[in-house]
Amino acid sequence: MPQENQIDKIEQYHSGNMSPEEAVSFEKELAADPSLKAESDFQSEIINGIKEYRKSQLKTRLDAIDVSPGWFEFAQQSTLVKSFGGIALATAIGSGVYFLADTKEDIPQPKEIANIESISDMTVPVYEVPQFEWAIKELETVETKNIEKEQNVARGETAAIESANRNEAAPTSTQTTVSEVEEKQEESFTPDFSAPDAGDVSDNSEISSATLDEVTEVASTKSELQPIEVETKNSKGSKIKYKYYDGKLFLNGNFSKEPYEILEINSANGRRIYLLHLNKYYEVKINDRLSELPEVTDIKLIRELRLIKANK
Amino acid sequence: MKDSDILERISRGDEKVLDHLYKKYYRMMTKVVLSNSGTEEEAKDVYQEALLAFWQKASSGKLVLTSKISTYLYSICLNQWRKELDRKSRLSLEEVDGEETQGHDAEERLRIVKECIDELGDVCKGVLTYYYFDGLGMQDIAEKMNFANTDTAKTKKYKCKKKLDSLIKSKYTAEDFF
Repeated sequence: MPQENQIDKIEQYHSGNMSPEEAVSFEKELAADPSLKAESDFQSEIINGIKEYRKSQLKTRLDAIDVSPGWFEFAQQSTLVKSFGGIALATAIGSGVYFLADTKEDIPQPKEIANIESISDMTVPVYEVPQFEWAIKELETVETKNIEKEQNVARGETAAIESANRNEAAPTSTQTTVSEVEEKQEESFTPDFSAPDAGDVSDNSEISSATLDEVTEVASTKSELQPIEVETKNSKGSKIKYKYYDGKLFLNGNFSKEPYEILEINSANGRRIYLLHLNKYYEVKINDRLSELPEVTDIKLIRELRLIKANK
Repeated sequence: MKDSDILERISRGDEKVLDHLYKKYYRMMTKVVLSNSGTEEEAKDVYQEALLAFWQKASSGKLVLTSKISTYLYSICLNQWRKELDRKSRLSLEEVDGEETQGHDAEERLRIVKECIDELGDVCKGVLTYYYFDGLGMQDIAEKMNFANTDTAKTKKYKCKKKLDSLIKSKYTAEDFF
C-alpha cells in the first residue's frame, strides 16, 4: 500500500499539477515500484471517470438549451419561407426615437425612416430582434424618428412592440410599411457567414484567424444603443415572469390575447426598460433568476411613461 | 459581455456563461462540420466537446488566450472534425476487431467508476467534479457549494474522494478487476 505522501503525488501527477522535472522523477519511481504503479493506474481511472461524469453532466445541460434559429435567422436560411412572405413566423416592426440635443459625439444623427402613425393601425405587430449579434452591422438599421420634446434634455427613446405568439402562423400583413421595414432589415442584417466558413477541411490546413477576427469584430463594435433582445414564452398564468441580463430579456406570461409593448428609455444615466401589458406598466431590471415582473406603482412615473408612449 | 469578463466568470465556475457561449456560437461553430460533410448530430458533438475543452482549460486557469474566444473555439472545432474525418477514413480501410475487445475491460471499469460517483451525495459529486474536471480552487469550490470556508472544502474533498475510492475498490474486487 503506498504512503499518504505518495498518494498526494499520484494525484498531482494525474491532475497535471506537477512540473515536468517532478513528473519525470515520479515516473521513475512508478517504474521501480509495481504496487505504486498499480495504485497510480487505479487513481488515473477514478480521476478519468470523474472527468467523464462531469462532462456528461455538462453535455446534458447544454442539450437542454434551445438553439433553434429565431424566425429571422430561419427566414434567411429558408427560401421557402421567403416565398411565403406572409406565412413567415413573425412580422417585424420597430420604431425608435433618439432625441439627441446636446450630444456631439459620433452617435448617428436621427433620421426619419418610418411612418410612425401606421404603427397604431397594425393588428399584430411584432418586433423580433435577431439572435445573431454579429449580423447586426449598424445602428442605422433601427428606424428612427425625430420628435419634438418639451424638455430640452438629451435623451433617446425607443419603443418596440412585440407579439406574443411568434410560433403561431403570423398574420398576413398587407401593410406596406411593414414589408418595407422587413425588407430593410433583411438587407442590413444579413449575417456574414463567408468568413468563418471552413471551406474544405482537407485542403485547408491553416485557420484564417484574421478573417474570423474581422467577423467577430462586427459583434463587439455594435452600439450600446442597440435594442434589447427579447425572447418570449407563452404561459397561462396571469403573472409575467422575467429574466434580464446581458442585454437579453426573457419573458414568460400570457400574451396570447394581448401583446405587450416595451419602452426603452436611453438617457445619459443609462438605459431603463419598461413593459406595458394590459394597461399596466412594469419595470424591467437586471435579474438573472426567473422572477415576477414588478409593476410600476409610482403615479408620476406612470404618467411619464404614458406621455412617452403617446409621443412615440 | 467582453471576452475578459467571460473568462473571469468562467474562472469562478459560473455555468451561466457556458450556456451563453453555447447559444451565441452554436450556428457559427456547427457550420464547420455541417459544411464539411458532417451531420447535425456530429456537428453538435464536435461543438460541445470543443466548448467543454475550452471551459475546462479556462476554469482551471490554464488557458492563456491570445485570440478571441470565438477564434479559439473555431480552431478546436476544426481540429476535432479533421481528426474525426481521419478516424472515419481509417475505419473504412481496416477492420479493428482486436482494438475493440481490448477496450472492453477499460469500458467496463469506467462504467463502474461512473456508477459509484452516482451513488455519492450531491455535495460529494459537486466537490469532486469541480475539483477534478473544472479544476476550481478550494476558495471557488467553497463559494459554489456554500461552505463556511476553504478548510471545509478541503476536508469534504478528502473525505468524498476516500469514500469514492473504497466504493470503487469493493466493486472492482467483486467484478474481479483486481
